[in-house]
Amino acid sequence: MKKTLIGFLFFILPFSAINAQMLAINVEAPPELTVTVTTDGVLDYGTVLQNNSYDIFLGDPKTEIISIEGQKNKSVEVTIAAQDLMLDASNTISYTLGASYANQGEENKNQAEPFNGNTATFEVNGSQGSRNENSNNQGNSNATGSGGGQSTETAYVYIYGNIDVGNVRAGTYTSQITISVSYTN
Amino acid sequence: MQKATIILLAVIAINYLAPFTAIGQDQNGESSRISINASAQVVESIEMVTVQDMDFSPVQSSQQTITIDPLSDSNTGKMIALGNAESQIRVSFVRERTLTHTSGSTLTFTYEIAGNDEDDQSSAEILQTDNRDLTLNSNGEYYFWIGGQVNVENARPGNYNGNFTIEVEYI
Repeated sequence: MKKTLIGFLFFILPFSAINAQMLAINVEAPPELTVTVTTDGVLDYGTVLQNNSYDIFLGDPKTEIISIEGQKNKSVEVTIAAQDLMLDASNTISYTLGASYANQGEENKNQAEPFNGNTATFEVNGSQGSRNENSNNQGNSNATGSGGGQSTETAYVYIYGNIDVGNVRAGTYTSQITISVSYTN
Repeated sequence: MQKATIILLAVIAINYLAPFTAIGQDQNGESSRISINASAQVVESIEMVTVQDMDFSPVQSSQQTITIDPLSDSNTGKMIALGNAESQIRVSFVRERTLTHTSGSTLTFTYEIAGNDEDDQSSAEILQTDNRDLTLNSNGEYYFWIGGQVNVENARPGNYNGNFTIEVEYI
């Protein structure tokens, strides 16, 4: 039975091709997400004293700013992984992340919405008149996977927070904060 | 009150605090990842860091006076007070100190100090020996440039050693 069916399909395919029309297949991939640190890349608490707590608030000039350029009105998920600041294994400073995002098309802390913990999901919206046309191509998808002719917009993420300095040794404490961004669908 | 005292020696020692800046990025179109750093400089109460000692160029026999202008000379000593951001501090020092030759003869060095909450020597202000109320900047820093003058007209040739003490305390 199986052999019979395969033989039949093989027979009719050339016949169908005679009457076929060319069909362009256009698969639109979303534009690449471009994530950029627009500030100096260091959330710097400066000189701090033992047994004190220090805040960098949203409105502080020390707040770090990340820009996310992606497809307009497409939802992205931003996850931030932050660690305590460390001098060595036995001398650490606890860090409590503070993060907000502004997705109305402009870098404006007054429009910022707080993260839910270390995660936020939002659309990369934009205000009227601030659209950016993706210039990578004019129609079909290309080798880099960028979308064709899709509008992009830029959202902004603000990173700040609190450190609690205990009875730790003097020195320079550092840590890394990683911001991961992806389309949700 | 917490207090820091520092002695400026005639030995060149440079402390350089390099900022830790490493930013990584990983991007594949549908998702992207980037890193920034967090940093804090922990100090024990208030500290004084000597960034640069005073540098006297070789003195010519014809010179009567050596002068280092704390507002403009690149050979000044430089120190930074590190403490709690925006805190008020009080600074005191003795203006005249004795430099001693190995033979026992002495010279009197008259110090002059300029201070600024920015790392900008030219806009610093001359500090007096009486207690001054100064404020650490938003990074918890205050900068000092130490100069002065000494009369070497009748000095015996050779090396003269001395020190300079400045006291800084929170108000």
